This record gives sequence, C-alpha cells and structure tokens, in this order.
Amino acid sequence: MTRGRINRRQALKLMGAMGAGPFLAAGGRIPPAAAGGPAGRVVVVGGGFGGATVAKYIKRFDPAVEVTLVEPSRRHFTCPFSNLYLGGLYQFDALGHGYEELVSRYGVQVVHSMADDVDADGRTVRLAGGETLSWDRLVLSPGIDIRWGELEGYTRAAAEKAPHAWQAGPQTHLLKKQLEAMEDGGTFILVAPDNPFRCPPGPYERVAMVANYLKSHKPKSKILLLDAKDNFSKQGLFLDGWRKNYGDMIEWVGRSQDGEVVRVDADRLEVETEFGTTHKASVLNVVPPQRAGFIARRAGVTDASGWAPVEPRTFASPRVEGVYVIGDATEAAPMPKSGFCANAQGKVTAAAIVADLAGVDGPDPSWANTCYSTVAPGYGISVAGVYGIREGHIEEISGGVSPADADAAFRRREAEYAVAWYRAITQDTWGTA
Amino acid sequence: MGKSQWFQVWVAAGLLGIGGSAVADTPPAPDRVDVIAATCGNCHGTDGRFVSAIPPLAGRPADELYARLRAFKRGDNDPTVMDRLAGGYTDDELKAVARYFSRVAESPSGDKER
Repeated sequence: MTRGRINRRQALKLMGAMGAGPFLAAGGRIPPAAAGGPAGRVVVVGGGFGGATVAKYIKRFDPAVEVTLVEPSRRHFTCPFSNLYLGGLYQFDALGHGYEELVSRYGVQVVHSMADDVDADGRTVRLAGGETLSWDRLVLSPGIDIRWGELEGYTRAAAEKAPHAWQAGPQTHLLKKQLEAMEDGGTFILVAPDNPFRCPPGPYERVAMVANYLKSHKPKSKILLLDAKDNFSKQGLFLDGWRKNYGDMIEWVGRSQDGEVVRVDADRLEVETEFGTTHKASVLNVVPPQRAGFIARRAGVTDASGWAPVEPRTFASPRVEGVYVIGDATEAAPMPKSGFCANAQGKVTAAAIVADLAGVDGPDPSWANTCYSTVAPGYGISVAGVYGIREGHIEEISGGVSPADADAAFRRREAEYAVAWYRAITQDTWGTA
Repeated sequence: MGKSQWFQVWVAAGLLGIGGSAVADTPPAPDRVDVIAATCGNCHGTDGRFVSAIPPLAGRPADELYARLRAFKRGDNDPTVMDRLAGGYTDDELKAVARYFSRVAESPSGDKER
C-alpha cells in the first residue's frame, strides 16, 4: 500500500474502534458486498506468473477483498529466460523475483509455506505447518509436476544425472555446469515430450541457446533433439534460424524419423527410441511428461489427463465449487502453457472473482499471449495470439508467428522486444523488473 | 475516479459512518475494457507505464493511441507483434483502451516507487 494511505488492516482497526465493525467477529462466510465489511477472502496457492498476478489484480480491482498468497519460496525463479541464462545471455539472479511489492503496495498477505490439502466443503487450505486458511474463493496456480517414471528410467534420481531444467532453480544450475564440463566435440541430447507440456517453444529455444554457448566455447560439438512429435511451435522459424546461426550443429529428429525416446539410462547417459536406436550423450537433457502441480490433484480439480479442466469464462473448476485454476496446470487449449497466458488468465480470473464476490456478472473475457524465442543474440522470433470465447469455447481470435521472410532488422527488433517483454511482465507480475 | 481511489472513498465513508446507500461500498466491478487494458500490461507494464524498447502507453493522447492501434490492425506502422494482436479486438474496444490509457497518469503523483 502506498505510503500516506490508510491500509485496510488499519482501516478495519479504526472502524472497529469506532464500533463500526461487528463483521470482524463473524468468522464464517461473508455475504457479497456486505456494507463496510470485507468483500471476501481469497486464498491463492502458487506465486508464479499466474498466482502473483491474480493476487495483485484482485487487489487492484477491489482493495477490500482480503487476499492471501501461499508460496514456499521467498523468490520465484522463472522458466522464461532460463534458456538465455544457459546460452550466456542473461544472469541467473535476474530470473529471481520476490513478493515485497505484493505485500507493501497492494496489501496481499504472503505466507511462505506449502499448501498440503484443500477442504472444499469446509473452504479451507491446510499448510505444511498444520495451520489452516479459510477462503470464500480459492485460486490454484501450482504450475507443473513431473510425471516421474512415465518415461521409463526417468526418475527423481535420474534427473540428478540427466536434468530436465524445466523448473528453474537447482536443475538449471546443474545443466549449466554439465555444459561447462562437456568436452569439445561432445553430443548434447535434448529429449522433447509429446503435447501438452509447459512452454511449447521451450525445447527449441533451449537447443538454440545451447548452440550459442557451444558455438563460441566448444564449436566441434553436436546437438541432437529427439522429439516425440512431428510438429512443433514456430517450427519453420526455428529450423531456419538454427541453420542461419549455427549451420548444421543442431539436428532435429521427429517422431516419424524414430525421434520418440521410450527409455532413459541416466547412469550411461543413453536413450533408446521407439524403434530401438540407442543414442549416447555427453550431456543429456530430458524434458519429461508433465501434469498439473500436486495441490491441484489433491484438491480434485484435475481429470484423468492429469490437467485441470476449467469453465472457459472464469477458469472456475467445474469439478470443485469455489475453486479456480489458472496457468500451466489447466487444460486451456488453444491457449499455450506459457507465463504470458498464466498472467493473462490471472487478470481475467481476478475480474471474475471480484465481480462474483460483488454479486454481479463478470466481464466477457479476453486473453492474450506473446511468446518470444531467442534463437541467437540479435535474432528473435515470436508467436502471438488473442483469445476469447466463441460458442462456449476458448478460441484464438487473432494471431500468428513472425513472418518467414522477415529481414535481419525485424529479427533484431524481436530479440530486443523479448528482453523488454521479460522486464515488463516481471514488473507486472511481481513489481521487480 | 481510479479504482484504487474508490478504496479511500470507502474508508472515508466508513469513518464518517455514511451508510451503504449514500456512497458506493465497493469500486465498480471490472469490465471488459479493464481486462483488455490489464492484458496490455504484460508487455507495457502495469498501467502501461513501463519504459523500455516497448513504448509506454500511460498518458498518451487517446486519438494518437487509437490511430496507432488502427494502423497496426491494418498491418501498417511497421509492426512486429502488434498487427497480430490488434486484430483480436473490435474498433470500439481499441478506442476504449486508447481512452483508458490516455487517462492514466504517466507516473502516480507523489509516488516515486514506480
């Protein structure tokens, strides 16, 4: 809360002192828009792009709503731009974002703990310490969990030898160290999963950034991308960009060319494909199959797919009343699992919750996405889209990828915009650009 | 009146003991323009105030912003992503969003944090 303003807690205290606040003792469910009372209590689980945004924008739309954000980490390290760290173009520390602004400027209560369980009937969340938080509306933004063992041989222990680095943090450092220790002339193998997964262009940007590092440090090395798919995001732009910047350093093998990996041997740094070919890596980076984060599954909002279906207008769960799910944990196709979409979903859901608590209809939603990928220094590409509801379903209203025939100046501008975008979205989400 | 200012009115009303019918208890519920404008913040920063290679939007004249958005929608104005995004909104929505940002102060008065 801005200095000089009375914050809500102080206001309540003042009003209570003046005999104006019997509602404080009520404790239970607060009717919508009770005169002078809290406009409702919202608990948000997860402080990534989705969770931090929904918490902030609920407060911006209606400061009278009490918002508590549950997030174990003091700083969130983003997956976006972690590839640029691997490529030597960005500092790791610049990927970390804290919660100070949410607390001091917007009056969000931030609890650094893990949410263990959800009681949908009692409308509470239980924290790892045993404490419970009550809510009128609950937003889950837990991101992804790895499906350990779904790809044969890819266990938690295997990830310590063949990192995924698909959740930024120690795994990112491990992969960076392995790259630095790799011999010149070695083979970097990236294993890409079938859809859906977090950050559809991510594996393809990653090999480009690894190539950027290898090109200047270990130029005799090769990169092999083994893919469980025959098509991928911004495919033409990536294939063209790889060739222009790295020659034949990167080889992509799609599913129909026997690219699907079915078994991982992390001790030997070997992978086996569908038709029995074994590939040996110097550094093995496995992007494994994924599902919604633990608390979404625990709360019962996920279905057999492992992801959470949502009501398109609001991202309310059709499975558990009063609970909303946003970000990578959701099934929101054609919206991709991106930080941008999680942020955009956070805003629409914030508006929907504020309207719902006020007892009115929320606005017709509109979401956007822009995913920049950095192929090389000064060489960026993008996919962008605007999404809305048509006949009850989420649809792309407008959008597309960068032109195939764009000139060097266009690619340079998109590389600059990628950095500007990252700084803007992290300011918009956490207040820390 | 900005939404954040409603909170102060609400507090003041509470302190003065003014009943719910005399002064709005809560800010107006966010509408579609609020949501679209919030979405712009993803690249232009909260309230369109972030200064970078991507230009800020806050405080620019509505007719200038609308003219640029219309040009982007036509594919003019040397766009990179904005032509792909502007096509997702009606002209009325673009006009309303232009008006929205024209009314946002370039920086909040008396606040040096942003």
